[in-house]
Amino acid sequence: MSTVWVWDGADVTLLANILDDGSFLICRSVLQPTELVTLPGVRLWTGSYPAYELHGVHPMTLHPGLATMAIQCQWAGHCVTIMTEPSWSPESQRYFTLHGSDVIVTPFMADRAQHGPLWRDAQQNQYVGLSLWPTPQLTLPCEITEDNTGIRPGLLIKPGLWRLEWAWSELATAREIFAVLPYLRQDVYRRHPWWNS
Amino acid sequence: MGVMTSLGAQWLGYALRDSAWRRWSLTISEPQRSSVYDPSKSLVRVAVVQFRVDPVTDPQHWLLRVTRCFQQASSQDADIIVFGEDMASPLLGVLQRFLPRSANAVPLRSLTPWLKALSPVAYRYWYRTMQFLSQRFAMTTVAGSAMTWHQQQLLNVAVTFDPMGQEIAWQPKLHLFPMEATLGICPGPDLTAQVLDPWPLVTLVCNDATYYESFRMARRLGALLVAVPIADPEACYSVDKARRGAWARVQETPSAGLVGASTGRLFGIPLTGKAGIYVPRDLTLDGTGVIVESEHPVGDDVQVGVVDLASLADLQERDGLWLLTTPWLDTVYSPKNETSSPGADPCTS
Repeated sequence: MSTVWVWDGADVTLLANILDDGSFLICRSVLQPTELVTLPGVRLWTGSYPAYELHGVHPMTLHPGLATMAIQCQWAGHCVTIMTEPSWSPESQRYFTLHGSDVIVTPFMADRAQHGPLWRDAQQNQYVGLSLWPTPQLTLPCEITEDNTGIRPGLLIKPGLWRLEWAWSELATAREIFAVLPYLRQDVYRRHPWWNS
Repeated sequence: MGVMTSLGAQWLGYALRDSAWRRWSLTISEPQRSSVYDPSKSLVRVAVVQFRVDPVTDPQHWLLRVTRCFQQASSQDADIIVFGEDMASPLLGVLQRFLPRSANAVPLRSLTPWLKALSPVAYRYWYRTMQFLSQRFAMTTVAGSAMTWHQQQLLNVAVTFDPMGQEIAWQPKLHLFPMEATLGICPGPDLTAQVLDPWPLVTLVCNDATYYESFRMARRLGALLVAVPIADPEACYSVDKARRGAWARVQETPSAGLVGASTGRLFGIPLTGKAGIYVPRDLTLDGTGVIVESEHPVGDDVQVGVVDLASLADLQERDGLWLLTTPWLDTVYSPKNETSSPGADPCTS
């Protein structure tokens, strides 16, 4: 089971760190060290924003505003993409998926609307989506959520601290039940005027 | 097997013979329409059909139900009518006692020779009927889809007729379900050229709407309306799963998704789904993006709604992000990923 901890503070600073126990911590707030050491399994990290300054990992640099679209890291053998811009297109999500991302984190996107962009792209790319607003939750392929909604809410462990869990095997199950990516038709897309419009 | 399927095709041909069809066609009277047909108008009235595709033992039953859908749409002055996927398959029911009873009883693959032999007969009957009714009711008709044997391939093809009964779209399904590949169905070779007259309408098929690329291509062709005949192999309807199709696509690519749905049981596979008209959320007062949708995910229904083409065109014009991304499509679909895709052409692999 993979675990993501979310510290739900008031600030919007993003910090991401892989903890010693293998879980992944995302914070939107500037935490005091004393706060951190009281959390179960959490060690202090050394990075801080803008140490995680975003650059160059995304080749779709369309304009300066999108140049810092995402940072990527490896976690438990899987590629995690953390989106820093609310700019969203299905093209960018297809790109991240086809280039190995299994998890997309959207710390700054207010994904309040039911069936919003993250939900839609989690379905057509079959990845794990992690959103923080208004409360931390996972967006998963419908096949692997108990109620078919594609949403798995975070578990509130203590005020401000949320735990989100899934198993990587669940993604494999979803891709087996309803295979989407193997049936992409790049051959058709490339021939079409849309490709070079 | 070859003799059996050949005999089956002959029996089916007899059951769907011309003389009975002609007698039926003489009973269809010209409807009286209260509105004047005007393709230049901004508001278009669309009827979306939910239709049970359980096998029928008498083709007359199928004809009468299809006709009733046209009559209901016509009585509400619909300009366009959209049917669901696999509309001709119920006609195979006239051979029901000779065919495997359910998909659970036999491997799906064993149905392939039967479909190869029988589906062209049912296809022609469906095609002729829809063409006739589109002309008689003067309605642009997305006839749904049907399987047929074409150029040595079993395809699932959607057809659209204009109000004069002229074929304006012939579109094989591009993105298959794994189950369809098992049945021996091949993916269509291309998004075909479609006539966007009298309406800016492009027709796709079911699972094509799972992929944003389909709607991007349709938009590039000039579509404001995208018809999607569906037949979802879901025993229990889930609104969330349903929202992954045309509803989701029109949120990303401003357009109206016109969904005709087939329900019931086909080859032993339960089908559920709702017919509906979907647009970007901002174009609906309640923010749902749903103009109309059938009430129940099983059974028959005809829903009629109005789509404002001017609003859609305006929204498309304001939505420019997709144009920014097209120069990077080569990067999105890098060659290394392309080679790993069995969907490119599984029939030649």
